[in-house]
Amino acid sequence: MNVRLYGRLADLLGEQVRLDVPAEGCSVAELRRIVARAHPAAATAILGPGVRAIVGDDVVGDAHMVEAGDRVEFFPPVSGG
Amino acid sequence: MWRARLLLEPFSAADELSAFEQGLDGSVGGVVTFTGLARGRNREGATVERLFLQHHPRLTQRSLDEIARAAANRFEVRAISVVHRAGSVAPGEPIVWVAAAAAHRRAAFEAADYLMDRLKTEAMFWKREDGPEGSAWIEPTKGDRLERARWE
Repeated sequence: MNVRLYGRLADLLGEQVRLDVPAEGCSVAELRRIVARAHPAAATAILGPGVRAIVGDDVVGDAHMVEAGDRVEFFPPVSGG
Repeated sequence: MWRARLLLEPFSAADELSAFEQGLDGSVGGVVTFTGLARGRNREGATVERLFLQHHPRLTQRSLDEIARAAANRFEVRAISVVHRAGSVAPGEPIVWVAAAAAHRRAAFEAADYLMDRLKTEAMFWKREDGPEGSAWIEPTKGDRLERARWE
């Protein structure tokens, strides 16, 4: 699964990271832990409380289940305009 | 009637106002506008050479639409317009422009104030200040959040 990142998360991880997700899918919370294990230098940032996920066109919570074909993005708190 | 546009290129607040006023009818008694400009110095006084506003390809426009629609529904206004830059903005260039037209001035003032307080905290952007000392991502200030809370 390719996951897109925004803001300071993109500084740490690049605009996109490729992750191996379980065949049966996983929760957004688990996906964040997968990112943290694969990229330890970004672990604190990706596991931080302000980080949210977008799946498709919706902002979702940590309990949301994702599958390999989903379009997933992570973003830090928005700056506003 | 409301409209929100996300632009990747510089825009002219004067041109926006002219186009906005041409779309108004005789029921309008006042127009309030606000133009937000990129500053050449940050809150700590350091030089800012460029302000970079990263946006989401779909959800940023949606966030602007939601804020403009909410203002149009909340206040007795005849028209609302929001224009917001994304991308690399030079000091002095407009970042945001809002306009509210109403039969009477109070609704227009309040709608413009409301639009800016929500845009400053909820519009889906990630802002980075680029200067000679490096770059830093910035988030809404406590003051921004307090201003936003006035409308709850």
